Amino acid sequence: MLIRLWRYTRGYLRIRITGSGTERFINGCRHRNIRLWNLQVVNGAYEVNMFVCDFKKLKTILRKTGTKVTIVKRIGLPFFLLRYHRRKLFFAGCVLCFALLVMLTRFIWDIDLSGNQIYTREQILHYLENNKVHTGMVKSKVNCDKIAADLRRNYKNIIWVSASIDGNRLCIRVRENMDAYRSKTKKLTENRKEKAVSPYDLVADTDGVITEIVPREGIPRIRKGKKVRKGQVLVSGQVPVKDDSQTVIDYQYHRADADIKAEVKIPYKEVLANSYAKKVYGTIKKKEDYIRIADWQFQTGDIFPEKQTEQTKKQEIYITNHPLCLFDRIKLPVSYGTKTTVFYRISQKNHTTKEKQQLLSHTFSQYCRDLEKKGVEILENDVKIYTGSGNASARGTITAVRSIGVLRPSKIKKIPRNSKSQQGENIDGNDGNSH
Amino acid sequence: MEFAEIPKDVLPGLSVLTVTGNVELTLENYRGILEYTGELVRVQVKGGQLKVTGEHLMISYYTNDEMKMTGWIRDIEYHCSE
Repeated sequence: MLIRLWRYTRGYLRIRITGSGTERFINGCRHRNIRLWNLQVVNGAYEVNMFVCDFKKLKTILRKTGTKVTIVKRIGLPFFLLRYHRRKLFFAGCVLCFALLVMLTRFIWDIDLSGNQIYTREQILHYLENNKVHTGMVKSKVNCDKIAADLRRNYKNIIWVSASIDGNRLCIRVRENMDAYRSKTKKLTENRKEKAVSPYDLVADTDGVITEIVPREGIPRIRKGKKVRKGQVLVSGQVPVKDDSQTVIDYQYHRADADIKAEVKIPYKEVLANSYAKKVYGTIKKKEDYIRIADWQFQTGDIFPEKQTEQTKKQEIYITNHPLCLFDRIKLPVSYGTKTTVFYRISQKNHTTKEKQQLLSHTFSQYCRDLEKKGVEILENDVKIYTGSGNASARGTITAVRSIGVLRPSKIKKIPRNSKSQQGENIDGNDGNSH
Repeated sequence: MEFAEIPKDVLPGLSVLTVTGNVELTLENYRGILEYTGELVRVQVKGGQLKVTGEHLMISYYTNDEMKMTGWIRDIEYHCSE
């Protein structure tokens, strides 16, 4: 292989030797230290390879042996360069391409992070960037040991880090202490609950009759079967603290919590226009492929969705775009895909009475299904469909049982002053009695 | 020489022939090619001639010290000069 490369770099000739003393010619070459290789008999003559510099030494041998030499082929880099010596820009491009390739391989082009669950990729990458580790940095400046140590020091829940360079990719593998994180999160949630000092009431978000109440936190202000109005307090978040004489001396603040269900009336109205526009699609479809590099686009046809003409307004364009990604993550500004255009015309049509009924009925059924999905129990409905020559409508009321109650900041109640002073007196009195 | 147990290939002028299977032949210490066709190669060596017959015989390289032949080698004969 090396010998071949060396021969190619030096350049050599394939020559044909004819005449009577061909064997003498070969021996003569050997005598003058002329290197010959791949000697073959072709059509009764010899064909052999030799270096260009040796070809110039053949004059004497040819005269002595009475042979003739013709060049069959010129092989090697010098001949290649000679052939394309005018194409300087091509060679410059090749050299530049190679230089760029060599230069670009000296940088980190992707950071592959895996094993993280507690800390997001963005968090860790942001931290690395602050520590001057980012994509596009020189590979030689990457200190894997330092990256691993820094990550372990900065993120307490990371218990093991491995950083390595794989080609142009910085691979970071981490292991996190999930048990410690879970217990910590639990503690934080409990603390947060304890720290909730401002009270919240549960108030009715609509009128209705209470059918069920299961309080969890706070003081219920309503009972089962009671009518409530919108905005009425259902469960108070301020729990009074009373003394022995049942006097309110203070309030404990809570976030009211309860499951409250009420029978409510839900108004329903759906209007359907008599006429509608229908798209009638044509049979002609236009399809084209395109390649997009940044803002420049090359396409095989003339579909331009951004140009709004009278013709293009009545067409639907379906675009399938495939962006190219490097290492599955680095999005390149290159994409390819296809565009398909379907032409249509608008046709105005009127609904028949049966169609109107069907459509309104279908819409109402869908609405009821959506309510049921939200946990609403429909007791009865008096929704009726009204059809005529004009617009059709479905109107009525649905009676249903659903959860009511939304959280609202509670109005802080003031503790009566006299109860405080009374309390103070009582305390003093008690002290006096004890002596 | 036999008494001293010196290998004979170090003796000046003696040819050394190395054959690999029937596809490759290397010859050292030769004087020159006498005849060469695709089926026959005759080489002058010290004290005689070496005759190689076969098919598609090609001389891979031909230098002052050594030559290498490739192809399908059928016979190798040594003709001693009287």
